[in-house]
Amino acid sequence: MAVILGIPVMILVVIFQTSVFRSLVLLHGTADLVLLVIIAVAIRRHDTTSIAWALMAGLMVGFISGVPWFVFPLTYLGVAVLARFLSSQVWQTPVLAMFLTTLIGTVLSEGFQWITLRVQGVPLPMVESINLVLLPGLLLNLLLALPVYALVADLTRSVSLEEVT
Amino acid sequence: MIFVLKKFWKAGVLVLLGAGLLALALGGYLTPVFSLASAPVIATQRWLSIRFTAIYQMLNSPQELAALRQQVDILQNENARLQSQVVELQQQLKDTELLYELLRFARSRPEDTYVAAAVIGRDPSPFLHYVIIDKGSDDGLRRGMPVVTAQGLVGRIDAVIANAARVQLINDAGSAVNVKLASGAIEAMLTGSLTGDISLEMVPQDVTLKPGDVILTSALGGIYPENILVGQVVSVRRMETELFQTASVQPAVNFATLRAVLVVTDFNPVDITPLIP
Repeated sequence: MAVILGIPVMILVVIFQTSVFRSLVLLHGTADLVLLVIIAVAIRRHDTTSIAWALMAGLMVGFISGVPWFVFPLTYLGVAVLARFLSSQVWQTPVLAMFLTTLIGTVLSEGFQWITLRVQGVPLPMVESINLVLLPGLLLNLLLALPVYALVADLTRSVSLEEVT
Repeated sequence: MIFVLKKFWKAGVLVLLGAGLLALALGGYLTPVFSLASAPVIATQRWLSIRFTAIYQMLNSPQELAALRQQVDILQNENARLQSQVVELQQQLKDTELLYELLRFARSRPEDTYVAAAVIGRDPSPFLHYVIIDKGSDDGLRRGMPVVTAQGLVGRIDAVIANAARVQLINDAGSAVNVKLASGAIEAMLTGSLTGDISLEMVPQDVTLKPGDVILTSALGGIYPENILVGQVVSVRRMETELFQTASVQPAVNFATLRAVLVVTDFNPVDITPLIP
């Protein structure tokens, strides 16, 4: 049920990301709503749901984006696994795990995109990429981490209730 | 006579007294007396009237208040509906103006065939400057087709599916457009950047570039049609030690507010990739 629910939810999140959040720019960085939702789901549910959601979202974003298609599925999968590990083994407090995973996940995601594009020959200066894209994006993600976590917590709770009844 | 006086003297005195008082009153001599006498009466009347009005309003106001509140609600709803209508009409007006501009541009270049499309999204990666449009291969769009607006060049189609396409903007870091000055003096290359600024590269040192110079596409490379407006030179950066000079360019199109575009469908881009060593 939760995995199937992931399809419309992630479609909606990707639509929001491309049409709304991508236009809300701080310097040249933007928030990654998809990444935040995946992290929140991975922290809330320690079964395969988060992995399935991460894979679906990664494929959707990879299909839309000009970045090579494999970058987002790999990144989101890695971040989901990291979030599950951090929340279950290291940080027992979900909010702290959310913040820490957001921090690491954003750096991993944007770093991987940057490396792939550089390998493809796109001239992206490192210092400018960090100062104008990575750090502002990180700030926006950290600002949005808590509201997104709260929303996803409500969503997963309601899904769990439906499963029980 | 005496009998009459004896019988009516009291009445006569009263009549005389009344006439005297009347005369005094008409002469205004009794006004202070009347004022003094009427003051407590008026005060009493006022006191009673105020209480009565208050009680009357208290008894009748619930109905009036309810009626007024209902009316306010109706008017507020009407106001909200009209405001929403105004916003909707303003949006429609903007859309119409935009479409009219695109139509005017299309009419000004009758040799080309266009498909109008709306911008519905942007690339999720912050490193790329791509937009997603709502027309695809079902509408005759193919990879490599140039995309323009009434203002000038936007970019080219990078990927297509049945009902959508991804457009690489000319300010993307991976974009390179062969351009020329409107004066025809030189040909150069226009490149995008991470920040979305565009600049003119590969301009020989002996060419005189100045702010305000208009830049158009050249047919070189076969990617874009010729003579589409790209932008204007803003500032020139010239170093004696370098082989070429560069210039910052103000694009003709505002990419941040891009909402509708035209895809040039009858232009077949030439793929020169096999020729590149």
